[in-house]
Amino acid sequence: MPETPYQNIDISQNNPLGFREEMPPQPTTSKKLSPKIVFLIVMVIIILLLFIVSLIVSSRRKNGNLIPPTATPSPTEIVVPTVSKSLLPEIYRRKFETIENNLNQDLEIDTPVIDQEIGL
Amino acid sequence: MWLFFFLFFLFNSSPVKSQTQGELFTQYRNDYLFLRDEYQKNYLDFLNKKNVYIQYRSITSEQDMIESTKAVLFSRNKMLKSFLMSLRVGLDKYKNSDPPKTERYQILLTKWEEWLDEQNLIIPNFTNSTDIKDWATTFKSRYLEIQTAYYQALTQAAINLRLYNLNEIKVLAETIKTDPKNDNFTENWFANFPVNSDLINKSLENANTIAQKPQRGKSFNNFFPEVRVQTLKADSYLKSILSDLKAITIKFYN
Repeated sequence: MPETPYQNIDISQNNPLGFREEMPPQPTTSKKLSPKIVFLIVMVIIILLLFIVSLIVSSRRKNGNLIPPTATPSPTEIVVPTVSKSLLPEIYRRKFETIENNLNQDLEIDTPVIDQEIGL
Repeated sequence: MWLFFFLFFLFNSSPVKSQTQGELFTQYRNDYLFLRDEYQKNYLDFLNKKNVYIQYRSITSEQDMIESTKAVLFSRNKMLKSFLMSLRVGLDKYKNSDPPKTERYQILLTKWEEWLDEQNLIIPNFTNSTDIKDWATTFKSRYLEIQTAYYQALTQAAINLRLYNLNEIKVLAETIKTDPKNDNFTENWFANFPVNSDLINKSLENANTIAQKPQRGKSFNNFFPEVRVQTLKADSYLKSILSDLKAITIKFYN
């Protein structure tokens, strides 16, 4: 009975057949970071971002202050005529207005409301 | 020195400014509003005293009720008098539109003011409920006449205002007619004026007729809402002729 060479499949170095089996490279297992450190890193990133944003904003403000202030328009005594309120000539306008205002100017007095049954 | 003071006061003194008609009316109206509040306070007190008397029927509570009734009747008369006074003064504003009729209503109002004054001399003398009851019965029948008088006066005030406005429009139209730029533009307006004027006068006559209707029955039949319909009609005609005049003036000026 022919002797069958024994091959240890688990240990490649002990391969009696003489050839070397290429072992697949062992995956390097990275160390898992603890959640506290992750949290710290996130916080640091946020702080940095906020710092950068604040720097940008403050620099913009400084630049804005450098612009000389422009004079804001203020009302003057000279009234610029736009569209006339009324097409009526000036000489009659006031008279028309007076009559119009006077049209419904009845005596503004409330009539008394009394109880006529007092004493009865 | 004395001469200097004399001359200073002689030439520097400003004349005492008399109250205008509008100011006088405002003053009387404010008095009326104040007295109206007084009446309302007294009326609430009277209602309380009356309720206490109804509950206990005691001599003290009856005496309290009599006193509060006298107080409320007194303040009611004062309030009514001040209302009539303010109305009478208010009639002065456009009195020139119809002096005889306005004067007649002013005299009528004065008569009722005096009557109310007289009543306030009688009221403090009441000593029992029977006196008050007799007086209250008389007052009730007289108040029907007072109401008729003041609503008629209010109607006359409304008529006077419209007549005044109509005249003002006519005067303005006459001025516009003589304007150098006016090339007979107002001719049609003046041609239509008598018709429009008649319509206004007709509405105002109707208002007056409504106010003169005699009162039937023991309770007052308020005619003033009907008067208002007529005065509003007159207002619409007045607005119409005024806006026509305005349109004509704009036309020949632009």
